[in-house]
Amino acid sequence: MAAAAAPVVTSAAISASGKSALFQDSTEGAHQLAGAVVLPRQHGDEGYPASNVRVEILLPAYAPNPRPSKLLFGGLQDPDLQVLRAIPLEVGVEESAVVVSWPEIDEFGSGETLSCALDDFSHTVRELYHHLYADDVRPGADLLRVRKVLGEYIEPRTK
Amino acid sequence: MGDAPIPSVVAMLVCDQVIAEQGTNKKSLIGVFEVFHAFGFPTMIPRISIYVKLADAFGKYHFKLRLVKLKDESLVAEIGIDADVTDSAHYSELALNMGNLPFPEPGKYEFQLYAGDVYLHRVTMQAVQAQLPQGGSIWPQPQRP
Repeated sequence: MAAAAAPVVTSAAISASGKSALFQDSTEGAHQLAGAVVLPRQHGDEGYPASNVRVEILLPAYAPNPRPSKLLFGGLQDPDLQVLRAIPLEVGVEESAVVVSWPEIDEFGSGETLSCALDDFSHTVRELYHHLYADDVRPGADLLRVRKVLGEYIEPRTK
Repeated sequence: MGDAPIPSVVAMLVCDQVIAEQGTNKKSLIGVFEVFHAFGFPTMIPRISIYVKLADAFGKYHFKLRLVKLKDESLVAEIGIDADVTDSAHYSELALNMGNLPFPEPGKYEFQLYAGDVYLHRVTMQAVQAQLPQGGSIWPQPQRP
């Protein structure tokens, strides 16, 4: 049943976030009529708007393995930090756990699935970065090297 | 992805439909969910949408959205999305309305988002086998007077 029909994408778009400064352009948006805001006419018969992105669907037979042996990581999930360069990770399985490791600084994360291992790794790297870049920390030579490597991949967010 | 910066995912949600308001381009997420029920498997979800809010995106990207079955981490479907982000002053939003997405068996699934080959984020959902009500009928039988 599932194999009989391929997935379809009915619409896809990428855009800047919606703006709450509602209808500033009176020629396209609402206009003021006797003190009341009148919304523009709704067009229900125009179908989907033209997409500004191109979408393709790959069937599993043609797509790569979702758990590869090497992975580039960019999902640090820290509002204060930005990933400058993707972190190269090695992916392995030890006993029943997936392990991702960053050999350059010998850090790793583990979990039940690849995503869980990446979450664990992300947590470790965030803590390490904040610790090594704290004002009151005087790291030794080895940790200074780790701090330097971290700084090549991660920087504080400026905006 | 080239020289484009690595975006950060601020939010990623699964819902029935994403509607963009004409004029403001504000998004409405209709029916946000993480669990769905089906009477039989394999099954297809007739309508499902992914909403992603991104920071730091600017330039041309090839995003990949992968639906992965977590039981064995096998790939169910992959969707490639070519996008050009021209406004770096604001967050960017990726809204994807899809149909007929297959789910081979009950269990946990995950949508994983990549920018090029760089893993960004994931959102997990669960497919549950629903039980037929007693008598075996999905719909109530019509009452005869």
